[in-house]
Amino acid sequence: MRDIKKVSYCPMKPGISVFDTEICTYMESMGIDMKTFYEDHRCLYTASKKVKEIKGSLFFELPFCHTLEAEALGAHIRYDDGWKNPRSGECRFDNIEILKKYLLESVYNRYDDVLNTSRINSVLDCISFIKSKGERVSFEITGVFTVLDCMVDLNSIYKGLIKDNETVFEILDILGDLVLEFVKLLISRGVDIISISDSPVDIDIIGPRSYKLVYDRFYKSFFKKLQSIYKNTAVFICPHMSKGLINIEVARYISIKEIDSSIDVDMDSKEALGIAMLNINKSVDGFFSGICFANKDLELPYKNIKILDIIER
Amino acid sequence: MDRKKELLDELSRQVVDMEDETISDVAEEYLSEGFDANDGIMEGLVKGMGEAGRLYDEEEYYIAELLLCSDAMYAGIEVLKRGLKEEIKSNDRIKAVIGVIEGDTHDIGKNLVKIMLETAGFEMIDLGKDVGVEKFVEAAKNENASLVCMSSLMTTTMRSMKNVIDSLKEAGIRDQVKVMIGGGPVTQKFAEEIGADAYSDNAVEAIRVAKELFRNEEKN
Repeated sequence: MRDIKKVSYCPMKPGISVFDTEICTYMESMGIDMKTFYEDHRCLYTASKKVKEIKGSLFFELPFCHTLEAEALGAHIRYDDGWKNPRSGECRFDNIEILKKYLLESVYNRYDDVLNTSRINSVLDCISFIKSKGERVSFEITGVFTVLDCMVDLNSIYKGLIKDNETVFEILDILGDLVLEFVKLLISRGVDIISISDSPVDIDIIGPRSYKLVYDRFYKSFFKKLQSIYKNTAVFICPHMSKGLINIEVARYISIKEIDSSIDVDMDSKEALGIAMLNINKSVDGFFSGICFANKDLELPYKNIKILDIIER
Repeated sequence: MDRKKELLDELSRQVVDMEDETISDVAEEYLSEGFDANDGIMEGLVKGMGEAGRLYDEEEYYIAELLLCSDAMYAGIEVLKRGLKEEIKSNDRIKAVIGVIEGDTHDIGKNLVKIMLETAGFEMIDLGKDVGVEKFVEAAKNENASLVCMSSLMTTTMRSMKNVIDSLKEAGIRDQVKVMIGGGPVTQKFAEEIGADAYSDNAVEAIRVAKELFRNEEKN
């Protein structure tokens, strides 16, 4: 049988790789519980600073988990067992029809209210605090399918995609708008880089046919809206997602040098290359990708950064 | 067409078509007509899962489809197992408990391993995701399992697998169970470090690794 590789989810998300035991131990020494930690922007700042030091990164990274948006939407999130990532508890919604009804009644066009949670406010305050110190911030927003994974059984989403995709796409439209409103809030606080991944719909999981459907019916419009709201913020797309988009032939990689031939991509200083990358951001009509921005274990191979050019818009 | 074959083909088709809501009715009908439940499982449901595997090989199906086919297969098993004779219920199938370790909710890999082992003849007790150490030990004890399978996709949670192994020792049942682990950050080296019996890199390999574990035991 064809190998079923270790696809499931990318293990390189910030909430997983960065916030590892070393950081957990460090934060435990501060003597606070996890929920308090996530609701206090000073704690987030301290942890993010520590991560930055450990990684030797240019950026403060936030928010250490993928449950912020889902929690705002009413998902059950667990914090109850010490220093592990916040994570989804029991699925709140039994099926996608119930979820759709809830989203239409309680979320649609009420995005400001939905996003006004203590945890979201604390990460926003943390961003402002970091920016006030003249530092740079990268923020990983959560892809819509990852949000859904916290709210309803993922198999029901897969089933919906294969058998009843109208309901799924109605849900995605609402969640997409919510995520974009969140992006606006992040940009208003001065976030430098926004990265996005959505591993439950990795092309290895749903296959190219469903991947193209998801692109055509959701991500195409989502990317277009995303590109219309960011200005000085660079947007990084997870390389797994890029691989899928390239595979279905709606995007291609182009090198940074094609945008600015003066950039020495082999320069020794990753800081210099990173800053050069941010400087060319205004000239880029696409996204950055090519490396895993959240990878803790590797020194960021900045020279491998590429531009993901969306061909089919 | 032979009525039994007709129903077996229908069970198989419903698995392939991911019909988890209607397959129970077909399984009920099959039982009510007095046909053998074990045949229904093996020649209907498992055969359908085999067909889904063939479609996966041909890249017609992907992991999402396999997961949905298995939902249908389990819905059918849920009905047909009522009709199994006691001697078949407690036959020589190796019983395994499986779960994602506490703190981790990523269960696609675990579900795939469960499907693969089930179709390879193991009896799988699925504990789900975010499973506490004690629950693994209790289940292994109560179910009289021979195999404990654990997965983790996170570096923060994978270390809890060692706690399960230690707790199995404390409960005095470590010698009665084999422990197999896997997941994104898990490696052979890590498995050896924490004292697991085996590591599997992916769901297909899990079948070979698990069978090897018990083949070795037979030799000993």
